[in-house]
Amino acid sequence: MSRIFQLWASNTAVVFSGLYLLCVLGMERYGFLSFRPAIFPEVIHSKGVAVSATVFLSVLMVRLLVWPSGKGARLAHETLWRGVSVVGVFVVIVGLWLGRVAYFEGTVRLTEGQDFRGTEEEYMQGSLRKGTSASVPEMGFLLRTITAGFSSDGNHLDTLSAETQWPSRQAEGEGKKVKLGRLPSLHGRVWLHVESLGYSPYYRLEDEEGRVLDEAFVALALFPPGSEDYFRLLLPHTFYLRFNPSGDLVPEETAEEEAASGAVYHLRIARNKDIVFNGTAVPGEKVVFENGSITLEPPRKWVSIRVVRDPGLLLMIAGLGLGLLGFVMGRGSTPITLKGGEQ
Amino acid sequence: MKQGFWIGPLSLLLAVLTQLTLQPGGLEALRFRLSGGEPYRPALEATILQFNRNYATFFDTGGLTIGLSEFPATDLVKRRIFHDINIWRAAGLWLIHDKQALEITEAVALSPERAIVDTREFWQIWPKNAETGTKGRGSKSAKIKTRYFLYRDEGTWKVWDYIVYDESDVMPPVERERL
Repeated sequence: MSRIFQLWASNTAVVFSGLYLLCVLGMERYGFLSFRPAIFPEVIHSKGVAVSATVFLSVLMVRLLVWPSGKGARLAHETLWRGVSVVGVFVVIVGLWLGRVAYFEGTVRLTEGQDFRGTEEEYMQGSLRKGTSASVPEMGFLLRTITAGFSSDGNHLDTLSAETQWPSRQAEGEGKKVKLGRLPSLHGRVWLHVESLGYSPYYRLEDEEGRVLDEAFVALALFPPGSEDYFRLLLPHTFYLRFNPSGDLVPEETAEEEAASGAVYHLRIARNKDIVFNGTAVPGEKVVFENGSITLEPPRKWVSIRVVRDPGLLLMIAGLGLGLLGFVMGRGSTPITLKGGEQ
Repeated sequence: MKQGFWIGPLSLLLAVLTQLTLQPGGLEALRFRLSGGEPYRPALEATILQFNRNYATFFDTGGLTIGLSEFPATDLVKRRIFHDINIWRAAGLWLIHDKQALEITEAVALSPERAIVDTREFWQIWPKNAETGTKGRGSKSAKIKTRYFLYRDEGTWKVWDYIVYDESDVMPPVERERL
């Protein structure tokens, strides 16, 4: 039994499990054959990484426990700091598995003035990543305004932030105002940050007699200028849209003001393979096609907001700090003795 | 330490074998990487030709569903096409699609499961009275460019969406991250 234990605690076990962990990390992160490499949270919370990291860290813990020690006061000193390291490594393992169980991540795309109630349906399709027992975070806010700073050519974002109001259903001036930036910030137990920007034109679809068939904001990937996105309604038509703003877009701006600023939509309407309209329209202009018309009002901005809850992350950081502290302090006063008495 | 020397290469070998055997489509991915995706081109071209044959037939027959099971498209695409056909049929018309030319300008497999095909197409489109067979008003020549998005489902390529551009439009570069 002691022979097996010695083997387990040997350098070989540490090297092997460490390398295997690196291989698993590399495989899942970069996937040298994979066409859709996993993103970091997927990797760190995957079963392969959790299992192999646990094996690696367990071996490390055992290794810390069985290091030969000094005598007397040195023994007590070593034992204390080695104990701190072991606790640290254990906390990292707990954090890793807690994250795997309770991790939540999702992205929501919100237009200025839009409520977010925190339901699962509001998150973008395909953006949800949940731990094995994770629930959707309970939260809700109103996205009031988006502030964006552009590069001189208008094609890149320099700054991006969103002002929110928590909770959402509050009168003007009430509720807590929270500014979200591109760096994650902690709100309750949830990390939030804004990512990308786009425009949400307000469309109004009318029949030939002027009756409104449908109207709504539609969030499209129209940034940077020249990017094309499309939407479909109940008709067999597809509406392809590009938007070129000029100057800053203000939500309160009227159609006339927007038109005067030089902003323009490039609209193409295709009915399957038949292009029924291809041209430009200033915001607020009615575009007539076939037996109806569509009006695209001045757009509002939208941002995608990443919502992350990772209860294991702080534990892992704390455990890592504890482990390193114990290692450094213990190592500072004691030579590391390998098996067979080598130094 | 001699024993330890083999640990590194063995770990790497183990990782590679795990990747190939446990990851779904691992061997297919390896074949794709080695070939650069070129062997997929004939199948992609055949899929687009088949798609357009069926597409025209559905419109030309007022929505006869013969050939629907071989139509290489997702249910959403089928629904969009038949939605349009049914609107024409409700008006007593069939929208005839007479293909004049179809040239495949690009066929690229992005992975063993995703591909993009660009075409130049020329269609004569006109409404035909379903009762009398006479040609209605509104005949037009559609010179278009089309970008087809395909995915492979159980070994069969299917069109899951397509974007139609005017002949004079410049097609944007493919945004792989949005696929």
